[in-house]
Amino acid sequence: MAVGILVAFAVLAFSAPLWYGISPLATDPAHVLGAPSFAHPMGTDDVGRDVFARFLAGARISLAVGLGVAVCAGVVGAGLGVLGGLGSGWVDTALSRLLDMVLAFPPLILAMAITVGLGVGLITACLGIVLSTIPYYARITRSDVLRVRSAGYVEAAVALGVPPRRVIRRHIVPHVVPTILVQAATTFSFAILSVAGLGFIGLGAQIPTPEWGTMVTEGSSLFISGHWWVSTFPGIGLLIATAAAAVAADRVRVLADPHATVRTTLA
Amino acid sequence: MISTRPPTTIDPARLTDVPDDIIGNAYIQMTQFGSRPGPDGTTQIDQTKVLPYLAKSWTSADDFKTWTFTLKPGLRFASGTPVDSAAVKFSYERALRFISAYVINDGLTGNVTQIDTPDANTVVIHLRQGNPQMPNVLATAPSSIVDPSVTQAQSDDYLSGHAAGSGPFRLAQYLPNQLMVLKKNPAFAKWNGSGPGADEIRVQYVQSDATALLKARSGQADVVIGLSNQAASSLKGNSAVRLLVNDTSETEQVLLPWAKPPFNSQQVRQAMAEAVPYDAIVSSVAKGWGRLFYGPLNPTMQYFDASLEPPVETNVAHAQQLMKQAGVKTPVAVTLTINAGNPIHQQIATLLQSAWKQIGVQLSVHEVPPAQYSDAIFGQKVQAALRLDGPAYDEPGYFLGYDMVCRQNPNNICIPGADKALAEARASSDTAANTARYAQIQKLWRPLYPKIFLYSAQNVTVLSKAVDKWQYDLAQSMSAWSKK
Repeated sequence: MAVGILVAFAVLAFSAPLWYGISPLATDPAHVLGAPSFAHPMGTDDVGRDVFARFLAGARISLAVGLGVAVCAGVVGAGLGVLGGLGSGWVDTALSRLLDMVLAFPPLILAMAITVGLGVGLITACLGIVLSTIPYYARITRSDVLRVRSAGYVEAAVALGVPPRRVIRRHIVPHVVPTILVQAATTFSFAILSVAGLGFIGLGAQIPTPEWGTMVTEGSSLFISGHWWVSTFPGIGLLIATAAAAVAADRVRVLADPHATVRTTLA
Repeated sequence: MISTRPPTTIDPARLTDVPDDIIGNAYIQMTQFGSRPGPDGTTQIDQTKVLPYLAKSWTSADDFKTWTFTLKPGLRFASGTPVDSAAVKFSYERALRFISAYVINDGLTGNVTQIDTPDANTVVIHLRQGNPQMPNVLATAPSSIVDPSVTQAQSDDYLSGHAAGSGPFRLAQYLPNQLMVLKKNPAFAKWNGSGPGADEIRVQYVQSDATALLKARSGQADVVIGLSNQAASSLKGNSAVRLLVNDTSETEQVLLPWAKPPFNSQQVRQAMAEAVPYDAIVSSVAKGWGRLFYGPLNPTMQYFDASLEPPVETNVAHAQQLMKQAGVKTPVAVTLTINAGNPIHQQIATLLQSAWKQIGVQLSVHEVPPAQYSDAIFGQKVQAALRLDGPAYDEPGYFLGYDMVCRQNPNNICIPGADKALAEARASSDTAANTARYAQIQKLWRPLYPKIFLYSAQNVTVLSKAVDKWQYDLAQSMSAWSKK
């Protein structure tokens, strides 16, 4: 169900330019703050832009950011985790201390600091979120690698003289992938929420990019004057996407963990 | 009272923005502005009329280089120190060390050369260049008279958080960005023969537009100022409040610094000006509370001539032709700096993006925090900028002194003929001759399209039914306010 919602969101959002002819950037000062209608299903904003067109464009951005951050942070973080788990003592220690330093900062605060340092914008916001989520991948992968490397079948493969690269590729990585997938699903949800959060405080997407968090900010001052639709719809989109991603992450965890599956079945 | 615009400082010598002027209520000035009828039975400040205040009379030499002010005696600061010529000299000399020097000098750098105090009730101000406007300048908040005994006993920063004045109100409490409590000053009332209409005014600073609107709607405030036009427009038809609209000297404008390409081309500037949807901006952004004009003088100023400053007509086709004639390779990238968190700037920037795209201008918007915004503009760190600006007092000579004169304005405008006419106008009190001089300035300025005036802003104040008397002043002088 959750995955279905995300897929539906993705299909609607990415195919929108084919079936919804209104540009998310087109202003129409003659029709500002129009309530939802047949012509504008989610109404118009304070410069006459179609909220539905912006909602769909915002979905494209949020889903792309979620996927992009999950993949980029996953590749780098898992790589560091494998390196730490299999590396010599000083490599592991150095990496662990480095990750400890990064983990000392709350992820959103770290993402804010990186964004401010590199200059506000959607790309730097994504970079900030990637950098703040890498340690979580690295930590969890490292602990899994440490567990797997002492397993009997890995020790047997090493004793039989299987080359280290092949041991990593065939006997270690496949066993840590499910853990990384669970983390990726969690990161997907976190990234959507974070980029919206950064957009909400002005550090994410800039004018006129239709990003959900930025749209909520733009519409928040209009809410009290009765123009609820400007911020409500992107807010609902955010709620549905992050909730679906969180449920999907939990499902992936259950699927990846045989014990959890048993518990679920027994329950 | 609720305000969305807290002061950045309350030190009279360091006032930099309009909301800062509120502290003028806690001080007396040498002169004060008169008033004229305003909307709905209210009054509003008239900066062309100057009345006695601490000074009961004044005279000047024929060349306006020497001004002699005679003070009305008897007023004392809370410390017991008399408000006399020594206090005036101390206050002005202190202000001349800080940013308020610009106002005291009326924008003529280093113009106040000497201040003499022949006796306790006489102040003589010597100027390098004659200035007929000197009594007007001394009515502004930066020209406030501070208590020398208190100020000298404290550090230079003391007045940034405290007041040492003798005005109609005393500052009872001040929490920066949160609260200011002004209470009637009995000593002033006794000296003046009458005090302010209100015994106490509590100013609560609320930086959220939505919160200010809620408080206005629920009647939690007698006066709400600084609401966005969007929020204020939602109160139309609300029988619990009155909306008062006053013209202001503030304008929404786009700076196009001549030193930065492509604005070194007059044709590009004209094309961008002609592509702007002015009517749409006034109706959808200002909600109708704005007046269209095209500079250099604001419609509220003396010598403004509507026939010489009609608004620019939106003509996209002609603008496209001008861009071609300019020979600029399109699309041309322009970065517009705006004040972060200012919804009006965000709306205008979005509309300009769409409008200028039609003439090949690719506009990207750069939002900078309020603390860095002024520095970015005056430090010439912007390619283009959106700005709400108005002079500390509504006098054309003072305004053009910083907005037009060569090498003194952030837009790099330089029109030597206009500068010459302005210098002559500023040294003269001949109204007829000055009318001709300002007309000449307007004629020289306009064909160059130096920058884009989007509209002259009108101020919307929300009053509860309990407010009896109200006088509008952009600088927020509150003496005339009273409640039923």
